[in-house]
Amino acid sequence: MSGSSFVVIGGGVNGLAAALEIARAGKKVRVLERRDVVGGLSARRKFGEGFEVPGIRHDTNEIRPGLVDSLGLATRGVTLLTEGVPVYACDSGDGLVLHDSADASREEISKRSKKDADAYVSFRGALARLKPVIEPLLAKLPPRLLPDGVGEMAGMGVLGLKLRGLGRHDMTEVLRAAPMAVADVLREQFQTELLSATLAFPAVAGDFVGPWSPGTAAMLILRDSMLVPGVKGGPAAVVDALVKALTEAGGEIRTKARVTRINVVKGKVTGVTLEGGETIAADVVIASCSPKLAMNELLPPLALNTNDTGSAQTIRSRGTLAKIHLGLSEAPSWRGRPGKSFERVRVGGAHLDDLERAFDAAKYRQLPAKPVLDVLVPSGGKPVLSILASAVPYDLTGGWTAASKAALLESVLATLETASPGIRAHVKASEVLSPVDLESEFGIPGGSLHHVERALDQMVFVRPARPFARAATPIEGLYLGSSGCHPGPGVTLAPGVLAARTALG
Amino acid sequence: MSTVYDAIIVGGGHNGLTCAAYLAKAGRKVLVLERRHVLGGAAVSEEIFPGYTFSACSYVVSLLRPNVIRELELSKHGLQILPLETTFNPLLDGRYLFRGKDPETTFRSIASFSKKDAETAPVFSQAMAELSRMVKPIIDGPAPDPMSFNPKELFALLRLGKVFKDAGEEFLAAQLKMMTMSAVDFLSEWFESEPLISAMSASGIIGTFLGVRSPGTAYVLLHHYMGEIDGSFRAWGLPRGGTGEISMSIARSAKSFGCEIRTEASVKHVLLSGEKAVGVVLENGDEIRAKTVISGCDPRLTFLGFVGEKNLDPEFANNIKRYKLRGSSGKVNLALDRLPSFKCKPGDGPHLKGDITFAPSIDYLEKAYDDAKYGAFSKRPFMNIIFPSVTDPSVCPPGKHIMSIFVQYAPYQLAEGPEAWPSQREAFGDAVCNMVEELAPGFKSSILHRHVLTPWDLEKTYGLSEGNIFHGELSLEQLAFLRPAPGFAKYRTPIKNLWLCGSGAHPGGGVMAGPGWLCAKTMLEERAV
Repeated sequence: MSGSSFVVIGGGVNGLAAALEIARAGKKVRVLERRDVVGGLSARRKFGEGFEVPGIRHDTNEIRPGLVDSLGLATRGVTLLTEGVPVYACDSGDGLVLHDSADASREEISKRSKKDADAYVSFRGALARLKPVIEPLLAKLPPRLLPDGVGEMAGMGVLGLKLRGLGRHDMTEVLRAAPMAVADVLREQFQTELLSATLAFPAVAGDFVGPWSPGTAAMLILRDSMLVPGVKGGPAAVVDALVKALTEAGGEIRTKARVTRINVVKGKVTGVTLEGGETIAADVVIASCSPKLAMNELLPPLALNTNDTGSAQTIRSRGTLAKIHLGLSEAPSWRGRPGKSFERVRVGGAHLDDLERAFDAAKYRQLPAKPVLDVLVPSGGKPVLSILASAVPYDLTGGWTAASKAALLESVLATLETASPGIRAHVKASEVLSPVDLESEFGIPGGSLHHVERALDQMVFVRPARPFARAATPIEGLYLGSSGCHPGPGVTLAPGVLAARTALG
Repeated sequence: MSTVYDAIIVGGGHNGLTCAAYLAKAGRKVLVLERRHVLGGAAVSEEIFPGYTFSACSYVVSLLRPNVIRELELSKHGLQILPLETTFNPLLDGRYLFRGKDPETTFRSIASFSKKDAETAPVFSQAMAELSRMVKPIIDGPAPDPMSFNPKELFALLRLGKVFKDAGEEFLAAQLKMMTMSAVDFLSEWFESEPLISAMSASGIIGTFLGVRSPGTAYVLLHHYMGEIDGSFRAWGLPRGGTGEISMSIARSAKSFGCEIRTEASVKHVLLSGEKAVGVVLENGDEIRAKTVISGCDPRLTFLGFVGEKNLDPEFANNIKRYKLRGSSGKVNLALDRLPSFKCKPGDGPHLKGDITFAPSIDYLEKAYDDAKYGAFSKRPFMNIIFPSVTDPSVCPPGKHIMSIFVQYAPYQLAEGPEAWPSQREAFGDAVCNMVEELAPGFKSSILHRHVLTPWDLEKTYGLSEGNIFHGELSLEQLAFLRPAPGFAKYRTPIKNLWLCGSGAHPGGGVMAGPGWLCAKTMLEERAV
């Protein structure tokens, strides 16, 4: 369906990508961004006196290279790295430097266990074999739960055959592992606790789960089989390239334009209303903001039928990450590896139980005594630490007051001190964003940086919910294309592009 | 003995006995060998203290397959199931929930917390019944294998596919949610009052090493909703004479078909000739030969115990080694001088006649789980309590009572190691009794006898590896076509003529008699015996 005018709600990477896809198809498109800068969770952010972090998010290693290509971003500043960035995982000793490549990690892991070094090779090998099966899924709308018609049945059939083509052993292993807890799967493979904990973290961080929660292995499998090395300059570089490309293609971006209502007449979208009352007409609206926001708060009452309203209301988006920014007087040094610098460091998660205990606290709406920290140390500019702290509750008992943020900052600094003694003295500026702050600033109800929790019943066919899992919604002209849709979350660009392509027909 | 049996059944638990009965009914020469002096395995009635007959382990029945009851004529052989019609949930703040067959009482009780929830409850029950109806066929047949190209399998899968297709996408999505969500999240989509959500979510964790907030516990809720007794869905019942009467009635049925049963006959290992099972060797050295050997014990005991890892294909051995059977529960059985009086609802009453579940809040249940995660029994445990003597006075002297308390969590793997359990047994029992005392002051002074079963005891006395009551966790990765191992989910094992008929086979644990029946059925259909 190709209307004459398109509006995209939300100027994050998916919104920009959706708009770019539409602009390149020769249509008039306008991006409406509530904040005064675009980029959303991927936007460059300044704090303190001259400090800057390249985004709330850290990762670009889920980006779809095919889309970087087709959107023309390579020529506008997006440089795909050839090698992934290793993670330095700290413990009470000298820690572990873990690469995505098993060969590159061999020496490090062998220091602890030769058996595990071999096991890591097998582990990465198994994920690599899965990649060709999973990747095609990530470039398309998810299949319907029940295939409709021959075309979809054929699609499912091909997927089934591909899975079967892995061989009985691999297929069984995948089907068996997917619903398991990531801790159980990793403990079956590895003896080195630090290795297991380091691998588990990305599979659980940000969602309402711990490593002992069933279903988290599926998240590890989904994510790790789509990994690419990433982009130079992080999420902010992707945003810059998207803006450049969009502007060149004739797309319009309006900041400080917060949408408060998606206007619907007789089941069809007619445009949006901004804070302040201005209405903008449009035949097609792509919501790249949180789908929970779009379908619950932006739609007028009774726009959806009872069942679909229920589906929208029950989308779970409980965020469990806080963002902490620290401006330093000098680059950090790491007790376990004197003289070495690392771009990515994990502090506090040396044992799977550390991750679980941190989640326990969040479950009880308390601050973790020992948060697990995902630290990005960007190069260039004044020294900063960009920290995602896990796990913190959205619904902290007593609420997120200045005192509670101070308490969180304190436990983050104390945790950092264990890996980098003396770092406190170098902190010149700090910023703490609780899940509540993230919610209000970025329009993500629940504060989830994934927009919608990664959970087996909110992924692929049913992300964010069954009736809205394939970009189109029951409202004619309204499409969803954000991290809260397939194949999100993360900086993939795909949900936005898929929504745009579906809207274009 | 030079007799060669058609089948030797190792383990006289209810599944082993069921398998034996069906094979004997089909005219086969069958021998059951039970290590203990009493039959039933964990579905057993034992006079632990003179005059007091306890359902030592399993204490209620619900999922016992109706066709088994019918085909083995269990009623004729003495089985009588008395319905348990109410659920009483005492809370810590002096309030309580009381739900039962009477819709009026149930409505008023739930409405005291939330009128909206009271109105939703019957709608929810209806929805659960619908979902169970769809799942039920899966437990009444061998699990289809999605990885086989065998036409019979594909046909079974296509039929299943048709059931899904006819059900429609919305229903399928509901099923997906059911299978993957946590009990709390799932119930929170329907209800708002915590006491109700917490009481209901507790049934999702029974026998698991999971918490009510763990994904995958909503599905277990359904398992417990699937019960049918005499045709009515979701009814729990008390076997008259204790759970052992289920096993005993099956044993009587088996004997009536000519089956031979020996107790105090402990099997040491399976007798192998090359790669075939040809009989068993007892602890006392006796060899008994048979054309087939069927194990009603759990997969770890069967394969790593009776067969031995060195006799197994390494891949299969590996699958069995990673098969999870983490025991998480204990049992406290008590003989009482009088019934306790609950602070929140003092005195006697219908609330003492049915199921009593202590699950006062979500945080309470999660904290109980947390203790276990890190290797300790729950200081403040979840408890499921029955006073069987109220419904079935035959189990103890008049005026006295029996109290059966199922407790979670009690992890087999204590931080100090499982062998520390005997030294922690009394402390575990005390934690439970203290909790009851908190809810019903004066209770402790009514205790005549106390019998505590820890996961260690469940393993040592009842033969349940790691004290897991289901012969292996009922988690998605070891259910259906993966139970107990991929490629061996239809009762056959890699050892020729060795079969598995216990809860470690599909459809899994609980006093269902499903695995026992289906193993026999498969063996007969395939002319394996």
